[in-house]
Amino acid sequence: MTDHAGRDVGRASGSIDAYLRQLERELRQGGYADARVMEEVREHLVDAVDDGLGRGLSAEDAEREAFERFGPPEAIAAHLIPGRHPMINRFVTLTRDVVWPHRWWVLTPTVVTAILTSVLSYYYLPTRYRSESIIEIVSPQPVPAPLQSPAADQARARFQTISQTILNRSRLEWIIKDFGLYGAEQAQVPISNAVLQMRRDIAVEFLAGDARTENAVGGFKVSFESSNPTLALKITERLASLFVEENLRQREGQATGATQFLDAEIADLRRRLIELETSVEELRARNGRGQVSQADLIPYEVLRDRYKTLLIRREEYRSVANQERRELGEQFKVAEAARLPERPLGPSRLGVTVTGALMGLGVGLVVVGVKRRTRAA
Amino acid sequence: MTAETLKGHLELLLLAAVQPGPAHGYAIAEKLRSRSKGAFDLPEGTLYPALHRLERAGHLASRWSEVNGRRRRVYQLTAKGQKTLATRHGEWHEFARAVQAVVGGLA
Repeated sequence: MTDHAGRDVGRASGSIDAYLRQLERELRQGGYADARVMEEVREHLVDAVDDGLGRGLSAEDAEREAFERFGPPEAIAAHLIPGRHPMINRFVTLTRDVVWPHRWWVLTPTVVTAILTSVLSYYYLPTRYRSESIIEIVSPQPVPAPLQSPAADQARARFQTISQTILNRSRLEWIIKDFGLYGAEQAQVPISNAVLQMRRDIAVEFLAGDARTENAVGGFKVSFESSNPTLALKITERLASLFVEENLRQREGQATGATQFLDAEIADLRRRLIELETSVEELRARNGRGQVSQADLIPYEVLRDRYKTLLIRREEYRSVANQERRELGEQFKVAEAARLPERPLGPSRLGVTVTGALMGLGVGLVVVGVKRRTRAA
Repeated sequence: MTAETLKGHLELLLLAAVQPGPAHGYAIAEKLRSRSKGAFDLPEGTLYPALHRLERAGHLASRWSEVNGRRRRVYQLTAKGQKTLATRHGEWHEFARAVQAVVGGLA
């Protein structure tokens, strides 16, 4: 387009382009870009130059005057750039210029994946509950301070031995069958898989310090996780009682082991005693009423006395062992019984939905980025 | 008049400049220059951030307008801008009168 004097009107000259490039560079350094303001500046400068030419100025003078009046690019950029960190400006600019015009490309996958993940997670990620019980290892009498650390070590060792016993395959198989866990009842899952799964759902953890019971030298936490809160409670209760029972049983085993030797000797003596008794009876029968030589009776009496002594000793030993078991051994006491879990452990429905939404958002942003790149290319 | 002096009154000036009717940036700058007889020594580029600020605040509305193949952003007063202009105008009168009363008396 030309005006009456035949000059170009409304077209930016080379120096206006240079001015605009400089302004754009200044803005970009502040993380800012604004297509609208660039267009406004361009039109403004074109108008200003036209005006100057109209007043008879040379092209050069008209441009110089226009730039002077408009102000140096760096000063104008400083006015235009919002007073924020360049990174934030860049983010705002990208969101406004790139994402916003394509908002449906971003919003649609965000909403769709958010809905999809929350619906799918409802079916494939059942809510989990965990019930836990705290058991403390209690010493029969107060442990003096210097012995506390070895006592704690001993308690930990005891806990480890017993938890190995509890978590062995056959024990778990029992529980699995008892409660019909993991669909093992219906043979949906091989029992070995069910055992592995159960080991994952059980957690046992040794706790040092922080005892609630008097004379506790250690403690541990047993927990079980399930999608059924009642089941979580029941299994945790069962596991806790297994720990307590197993501890008792192992200590009993030690005590009986010690009396086994006596038992064998007593059985042997008893057999010999009965043999002698029979032969003495036979002698009596042969020799007529009551006529048995003292010489024949003495070995029998010796044996009888010894038998008596052994029986007494065994009795004493047993009661001492019992005493020891009751009073001297460490006991497992349930310090905190399993409770019905009130709140689910997870997964957080909100978390799942937000994750889904973020994934969709990511996909949407990538799509917009690719679209922009292919258009630029 | 320095830019610093002008700063506090720039918004009033811009609102007043578009009161008669919609105008684009260059026309507004022209109006400020000619009406003040060049007294406002303000880089014209700084009008744009101020115009955008007024638009964000709802005092101005803008749209593209195409005349003779030239696309220009045109600004006009909103109802809210009208009200603000009236208030500011009143305040300015009050202020100018008070300043004049004091300074004029001294002179």
